[in-house]
Amino acid sequence: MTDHLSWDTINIIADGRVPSAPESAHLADCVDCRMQLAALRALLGAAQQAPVAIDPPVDAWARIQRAIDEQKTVPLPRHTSSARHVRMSHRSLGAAAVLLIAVSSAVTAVVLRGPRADNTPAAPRGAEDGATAMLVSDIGAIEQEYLSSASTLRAALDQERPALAPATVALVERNLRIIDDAIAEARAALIRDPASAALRALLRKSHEQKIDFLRRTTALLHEA
Amino acid sequence: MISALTHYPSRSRMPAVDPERVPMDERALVQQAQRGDVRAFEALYHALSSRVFALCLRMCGDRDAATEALQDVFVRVWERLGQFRGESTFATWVHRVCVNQLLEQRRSDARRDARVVSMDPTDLPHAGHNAAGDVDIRFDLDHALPRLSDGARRVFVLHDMQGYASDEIARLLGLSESTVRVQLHRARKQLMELLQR
Repeated sequence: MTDHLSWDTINIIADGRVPSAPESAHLADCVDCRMQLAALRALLGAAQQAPVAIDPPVDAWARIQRAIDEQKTVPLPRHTSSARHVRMSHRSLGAAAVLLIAVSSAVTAVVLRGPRADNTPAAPRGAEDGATAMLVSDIGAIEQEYLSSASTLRAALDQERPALAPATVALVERNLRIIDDAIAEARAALIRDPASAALRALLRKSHEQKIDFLRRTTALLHEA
Repeated sequence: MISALTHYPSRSRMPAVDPERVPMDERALVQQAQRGDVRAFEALYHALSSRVFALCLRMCGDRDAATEALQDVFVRVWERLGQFRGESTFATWVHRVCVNQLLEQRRSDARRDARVVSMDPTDLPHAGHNAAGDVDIRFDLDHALPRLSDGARRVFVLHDMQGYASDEIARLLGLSESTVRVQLHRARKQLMELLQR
C-alpha cells in the first residue's frame, strides 16, 4: 500500500476498529500515518479525561430560583410515557382561585347582610313549609343545569389526577372546596330566603364559576 | 450528605439503576423536590451544577451562553421532576434533560449559527503542565473547543467527551449518521491542528 491512510480510516481505527492486514502493514511502514493515529488517540484520551466539573457562576442558583419563583411552576409528574410536557403554573390556578374567592366572599356578604338586602319581599311566615318544599325542587332545577357539566368536567380532571403532583392536586382541591362552600352558602341562604333574586343569581353564578374553574384547569392540562 | 449524587457517569457508562441501591439522600431529596420543596431542589442543584455547567460550557462555547443554558436546564429539570421515575440515577436523568435542552435550544436559536465564539481562559480549570513539561492537552482542548463551529463542537463533545454513539447523535440532531461522522472527523482534524499550533 503506497497511499497514506485516509483521515476517515485513521479515525475509524482510532475508534477501535482493528486495522486490516494492508492497513497494519502501511502503519508499520509509514511514520506520518502512525503519528497521525497516535496524535488522534492522544486527543481522544484527553477528551475522555477532561474535567467533568466546572463551577458555574456563584449567582447562578439565585437566577434559577428567581426564574422558578417568577413562573411558580410546579413539578408535574406524568404516569404515561407520553412526551407531552405538562406544565401548569400557580399563576393560572391562582387567577382561578381569586375568582372563586371573590364569588365566595360575595355570597358570604349577601348572607351576612340578611335576607332583605336585595329588597325583595320575604315569603309570608305561614307559607314557609310549602315554599320550602317548592324551593327544593326549584333549587334542584337551577342546579340541574350545571351538575351534568360539572360532573363531566370533574371526571376529566379526575383522570388527570394520578398524573398530577400532590401540591397541584392540593391546590386544585382547595380551590374546588372554596367554590363548593360558596355554592353551599348560596343554597342555604336561598332556602332561608327563597324569594331573593340576588341569592338565586349567586347560586347560579357559583355553579358557573365551578364549571369555569374545572374547564380552565382541564384545558390547562390538555394544552400543556 | 449528597455526595452520592456527584457520581455522574458519562453517557457510555449509564447503567439502569437498582432502586434499592439508590442512596436514600438522593431519593429523599428528589421526592421532596417533586413535592415542590425548592430547598431540596437547591441541594440537588449544588450537587450537580458543576457537571452540568461543564457540559453547557463545552457545548455552548462561551460562558454567558453556558450560564443561560444552565439556568434553562435546571428550570426544565424542576418542571419535569415529576417525570423522574428513578429508573436511572438522578444525575443521569438530569444529564439527558441537559443534552436535550441544549440541542433544542440550538434548533430554536438561529442566532447561534452566526455567533463568533470566544471563551475566556479563566473559565476553564486545570491549566497546567504534564509530567514532561508540555502544556497539558486537556487544558488546551478546552481552549480549542470554542474555536470549532457549533456543529463540529457539539458532535465532538457528545461523541468523544460524553460517549454518545454516532447513531444516537444523528437521531438527536436530526442528521444522517454519515453527516455526523463527517462532522466528527472534521472536528477532530480541526482540534489537532489547533493543538499543534
